[in-house]
Amino acid sequence: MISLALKSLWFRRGSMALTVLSIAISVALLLGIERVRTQAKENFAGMVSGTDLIVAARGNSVQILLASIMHIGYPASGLSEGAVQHVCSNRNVAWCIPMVMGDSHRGYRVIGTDLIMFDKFRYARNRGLSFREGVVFDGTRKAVIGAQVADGLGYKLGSKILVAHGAGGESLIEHSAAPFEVSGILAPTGTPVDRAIYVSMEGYEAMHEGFGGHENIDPLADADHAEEKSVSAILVGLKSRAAVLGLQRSFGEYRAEPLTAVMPGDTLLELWQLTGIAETALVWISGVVVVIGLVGITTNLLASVNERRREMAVLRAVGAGLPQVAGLILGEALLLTAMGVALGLALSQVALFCLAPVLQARYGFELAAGGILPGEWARMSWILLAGGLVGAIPAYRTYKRSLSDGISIRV
Amino acid sequence: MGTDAPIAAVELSDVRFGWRGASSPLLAISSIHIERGEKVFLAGPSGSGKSTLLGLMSGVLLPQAGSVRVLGHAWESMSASQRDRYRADHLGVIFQMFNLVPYLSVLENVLLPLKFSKLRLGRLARPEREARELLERLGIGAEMLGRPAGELSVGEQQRTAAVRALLGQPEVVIADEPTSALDADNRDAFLELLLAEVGRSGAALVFVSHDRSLASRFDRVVQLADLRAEAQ
Ligand SMILES: Nc1ncnc2c1ncn2[C@@H]1O[C@H](COP(=O)(O)OP(=O)(O)OP(=O)(O)O)[C@@H](O)[C@H]1O
Ligand SMILES: [Mg+2]
Repeated sequence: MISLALKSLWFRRGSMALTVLSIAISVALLLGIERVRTQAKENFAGMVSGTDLIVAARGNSVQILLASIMHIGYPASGLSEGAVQHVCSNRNVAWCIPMVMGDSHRGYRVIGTDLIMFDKFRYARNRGLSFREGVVFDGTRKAVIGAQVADGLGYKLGSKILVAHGAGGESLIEHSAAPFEVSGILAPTGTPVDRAIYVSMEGYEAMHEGFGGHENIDPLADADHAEEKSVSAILVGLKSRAAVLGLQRSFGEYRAEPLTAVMPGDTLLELWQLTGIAETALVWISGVVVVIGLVGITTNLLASVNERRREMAVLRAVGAGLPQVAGLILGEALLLTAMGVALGLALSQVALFCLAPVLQARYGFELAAGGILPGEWARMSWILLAGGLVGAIPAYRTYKRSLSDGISIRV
Repeated sequence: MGTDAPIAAVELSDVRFGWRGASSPLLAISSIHIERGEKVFLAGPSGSGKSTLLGLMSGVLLPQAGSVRVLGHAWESMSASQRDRYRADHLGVIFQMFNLVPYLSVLENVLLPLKFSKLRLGRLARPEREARELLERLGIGAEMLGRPAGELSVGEQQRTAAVRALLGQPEVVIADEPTSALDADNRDAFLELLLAEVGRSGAALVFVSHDRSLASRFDRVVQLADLRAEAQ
């Protein structure tokens, strides 16, 4: 009966191909969205897993998280030395990594930070940074670069880096101070660290002093360069996680300066709530495309019920039962859906393979393209089940038709 | 009829059948008795219910009253799936037109009943070869076997259908106007072949046609109108 269904579908391949394709596309969308969504979440959760608090000037917590961890955008304003002292000297704080940002070198972000960063920063569930080549910066003129910076720009140990003010492209003013020299290259991490250039806080400051005034520059990026506010954000690790809520509140109540302390995990959830609307919309859209595909299969098979009455009568005459005749139609619906799902799966895998390097390069986020996740199996099974359900309609019609037709069809 | 009589190929007694929604029954037949190996010509005006009667004989339709037996087994005493298997085992059917499943090849069409009937399959030592031989005898050459059935001429289709109906020696062959789409030459040749093959396999043949000129070739002519008269 399966081979009969296959042959019958092949016979009608012209009209069936389109419905299969529409199902394939929607399945690819559904799977792709699911994949990117779950992996993005896992990836980001891994990136923040080692940091207990992020402290920055008062602002939107999602913005602070994106700027300090994901290297997307900048904090609205900076922190003074006093605020940094206040945070880092708290007795519950195990380590703190100050970061200053706002400059870039040929599209890669330049970050001023402390040596402690290479010791304490954690990503992807407690992995630390390691060096592929060289060592940490040991002065104001040295820089440590991420793996992608090295690969992308062809930099080696000893290469010179001229820093431009602001985050962007060609036309930005370059700091006139002497260039930095690459002292170390980090091993790849699959995080935004790969796309960053790290220099010492002092080196970063010196570069700005050398540069002098702040005219003719992007005002957004400029705000955090007032001399007394030299730190953009602080990543904080606590001695005990239990203290996190109390500290968050206490930092937020710091009198001298408005601060925001961000719990990365919670803020990520906030971020997912923001993107959730878009995700849901996409899932709905691809869901609707699935439904359209399934309706296409049903109408296709329903339309053929009449023209296939003779075929069914022949099958009945040679000994096929009503359940078998109806099963043939149901089988065709299932096969079409299954082909759509399989093709969609293949499409999504191909798309992910193509997308993975782009995501990696743009956002430093690693997308595992191969394999099928449990959620994806579930989605595919649901679609197959739906295919069986809608296939039941033409199958039932065929059953009724064959039942009343008898053996000989009147033309 | 007596219980000691040989088992009939097809037997109807006190059958009433009406299509759903019809006010009076279309068929009311007190008795039909077709011997094994008998070749019966069934005649009657259009719309008199010949095809319906064949449907009853093949167990696709069930009478509202009375009994239809093939080889002594009453359709109405079987379950639906038993009827399907029994039909596959013991009956060969040829229609007026469109006998073949269009997306299967000629050979696949011919072998189709064997998929549903282990009994008929078991009667053939080498099913495919025997199918080829039978096709060959009815003038379907080896070069046509792989072609989709839809590409054959009507005459070729009817002969293919006859091969399918005969393959594996079913005891009863039912043919509903198998020649009416054929021209005179083709019709005579087809009937010749069909009768010869039915004779060889020893099957009973119930043959419906409007063409009374064919009647003389059969053992017996049954008028549907007469059957109905009997019942009243
Ligand atoms: N599937 C069906 N459902 C309802 N009524 C039917 C069906 N098939 C046939 N009939 C009715 O039953 C009557 C007899 O039809 P049938 O096909 O048995 O006649 P027939 O003798 O074979 O005619 P013909 O010589 O034209 O083939 C007709 O009035 C027809 O309308
Ligand atoms: Mg008829």
